[in-house]
Amino acid sequence: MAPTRLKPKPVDAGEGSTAPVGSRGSIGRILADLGVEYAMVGVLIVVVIVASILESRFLDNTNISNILTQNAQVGLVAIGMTFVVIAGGFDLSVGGIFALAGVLYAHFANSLPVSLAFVLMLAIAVAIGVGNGLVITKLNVNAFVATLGSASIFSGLAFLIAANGAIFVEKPSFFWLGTHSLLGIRVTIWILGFAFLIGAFVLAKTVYGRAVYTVGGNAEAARLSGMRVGLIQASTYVLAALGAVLGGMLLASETQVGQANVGAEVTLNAIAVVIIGGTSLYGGRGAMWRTLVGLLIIASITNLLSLMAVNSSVQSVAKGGIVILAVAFDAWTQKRRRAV
Amino acid sequence: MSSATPAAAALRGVEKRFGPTVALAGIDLEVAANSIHALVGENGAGKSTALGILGGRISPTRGEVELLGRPLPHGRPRAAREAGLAVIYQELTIVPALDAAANVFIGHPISRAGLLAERQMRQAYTELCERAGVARQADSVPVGELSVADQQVIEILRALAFDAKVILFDEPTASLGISEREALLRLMNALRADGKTMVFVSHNLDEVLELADEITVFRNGRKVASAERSGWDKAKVVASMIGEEADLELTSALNDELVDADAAARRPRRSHSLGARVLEVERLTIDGVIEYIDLDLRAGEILGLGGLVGSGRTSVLRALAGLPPKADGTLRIDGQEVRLPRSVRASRRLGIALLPEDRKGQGLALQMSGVTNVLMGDMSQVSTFGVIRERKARDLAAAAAAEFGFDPDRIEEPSERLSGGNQQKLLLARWAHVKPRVLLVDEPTRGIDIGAKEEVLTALRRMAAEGISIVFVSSELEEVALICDRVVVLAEGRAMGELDADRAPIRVSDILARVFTVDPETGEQVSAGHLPQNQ
Repeated sequence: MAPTRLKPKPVDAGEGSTAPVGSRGSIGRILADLGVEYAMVGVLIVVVIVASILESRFLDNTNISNILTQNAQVGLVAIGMTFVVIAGGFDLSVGGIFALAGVLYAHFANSLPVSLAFVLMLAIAVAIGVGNGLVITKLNVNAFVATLGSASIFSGLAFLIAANGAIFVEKPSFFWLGTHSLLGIRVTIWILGFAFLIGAFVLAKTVYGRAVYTVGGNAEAARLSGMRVGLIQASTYVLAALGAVLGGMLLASETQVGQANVGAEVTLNAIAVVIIGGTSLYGGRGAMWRTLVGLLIIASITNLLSLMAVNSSVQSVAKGGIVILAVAFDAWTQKRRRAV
Repeated sequence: MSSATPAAAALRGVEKRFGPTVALAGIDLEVAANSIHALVGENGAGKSTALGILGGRISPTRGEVELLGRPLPHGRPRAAREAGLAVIYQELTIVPALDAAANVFIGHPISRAGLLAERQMRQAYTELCERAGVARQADSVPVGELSVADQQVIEILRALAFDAKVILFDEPTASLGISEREALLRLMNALRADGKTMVFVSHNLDEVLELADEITVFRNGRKVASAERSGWDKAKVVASMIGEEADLELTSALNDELVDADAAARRPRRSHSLGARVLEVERLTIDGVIEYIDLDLRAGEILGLGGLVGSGRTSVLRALAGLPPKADGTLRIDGQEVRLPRSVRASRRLGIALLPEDRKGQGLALQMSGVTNVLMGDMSQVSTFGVIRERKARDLAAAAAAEFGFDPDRIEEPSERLSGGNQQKLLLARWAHVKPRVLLVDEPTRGIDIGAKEEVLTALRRMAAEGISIVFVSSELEEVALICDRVVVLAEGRAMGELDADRAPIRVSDILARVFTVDPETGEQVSAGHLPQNQ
């Protein structure tokens, strides 16, 4: 459809009878735009206020530390997922990667020095991401189906390697990442914080980050302007795999065991965090701070429900509802933009 | 159109605001029954909004809509349809996987006891085709495989199937070739003879003048003039569309030529001299699409590919830009033989860049700022070790876009908020920033208004003066004639001849004469524009 909005026409500016009868932007409109833009920050503030009223313990230092530690793994997965979603893709395999990473890390740690096992795992993360990326960009398999399939492969491998479903590790150095503190803050939280900072910087400030947005915004335009669209798309799956592997290793380190059955909830949670923050499923729109906001919203709500001793099945229902609302909000803002 | 006949459709005091923006400021419009009424105006003038309100797609902020003497509830397309109104949108609403008959009866299939009555539908479809005098499409051919023109005919038949009295068309000929255009105009004439009332929006003033009984001109959300056909000529329409004061050196030459055949000789000419031969293509061939096309291009030259939609113009550009389908032929850059590019990146390495025809689909990342859209071809100048220097990026992009008359203060706005003309300026700025040796330009003025057209054409001239070689494709053959140094005329995938502005001014009629050459075997005119849908 041709745009129905009037364009400003300098040519006519001086002439009375045909002067533009409208102009772009007004205080009301700008406020409404800001409202939509930062709606999720508002939601987070409301959630925190409501939670601290309902539960006096909510804002305690220990509780805050707990919230962050418990959600750090999902947070790491969500950081990688943010890149994938902004580039217009989707990764359903992060849960499988997450479980496989914990099991493999434990497996290697039992036979190799822990630091070597850690580095080896990062290399494996890259390999897994490249695999997903190639299937999607070279074999042109739809991202949903490709990662749904690879999710099954990874989680199957996890169960194959952990013959009893779990691999225990006795080495103290294996526990360090997940249980120790530096300067009074858990290592896990440090890692999450750094990952967010690096992710935010790369996404917002680098040529690569801008390319991710551009490919998600209009892959064809990006291709015609000479970008390596496939490479950029594939690279986001590597980042997602890195996030999932880090998350899986942190969980294994914290619980001192690599378990094959831990990935099921991770995929939905990570996607939920990204979407609730306001990064668009349509690609090309979003930001890393949004993922942080989404993580804090989900983490606060889950924590509040736990403090209030709400059944975890009910929590699951609530989370599903929130995700659907967030996607509906995304669709609504998309439509609203088009209407302008 | 005497005032005694009741209006088939009318807008009364219709105003439409989008937020603070007034798209239509109190419009009165009467469409006489059994007539064809054209709405014209620049982009954003309000004609499409008026059409949308008539069709019930857009609810007016104030005012009334009447259809066949009865008030129409606002913003309810279904009610408008039940009252006997059909709208043929530019973006067609066919279902590609279904065949023609199924598409014609979408929404109102003929059925018996809840089962589809396939045979009756096919028969009813045949009758509709006969009544409208159009060719019947074969059964069980998915309409997605038909040409855009045939798909459009199916949409029109759908309107006839539920016996619409009033049919609205939004730029019906925008994506049609000349012969298809003529066929559509014939069909519209036949429908008028059959008692239908039609309203159409068009940028093509020739067809407006050929077809319409009454013409209404919009400018800046107001109706500036409305009169019967006899009261108009092209110059008058243009004048009331753009107002009096616009300064249009290049495009006004076109208007002069409508009045004065010798004006072509006086049109502004290239002031720089051409450089060495930059690009040569020999025997460029894509199976079933184009055959043995030779082109050569000198530094600073604008070479036009004249021809109709489907003549192979876009295919030539795509082949040079490294896009599929696979092309064969010999390519020389600066006299050195190189492989025909097989990817956009390979083509970019040869110094070739493409300004694609579909601005929104292939050109811009709409949600992103002008800065990103201008710089996405090359960010090396505005980044250090991969980190973007925002200030520098903004200044560079703003400066590049300002060269094309883009308001630098708007460079950070999301591109989706810009008019088509401003979007096109961003794309031009992208390539001006990259400075390719050869710029391939496909339909750069489609859907943008006259003022922006002037700026785009002037900008291309300037880029050529700076030594960039340009291959120019446009369905507006006047523009091809106007700005090209040479024109290679294509028809049905073959080169039909060459026109050189250094020898004689290029006229549209010269291009068309070569397009519609006479078939030596049969003595019949070979009609162009019937190639497979390759563009």
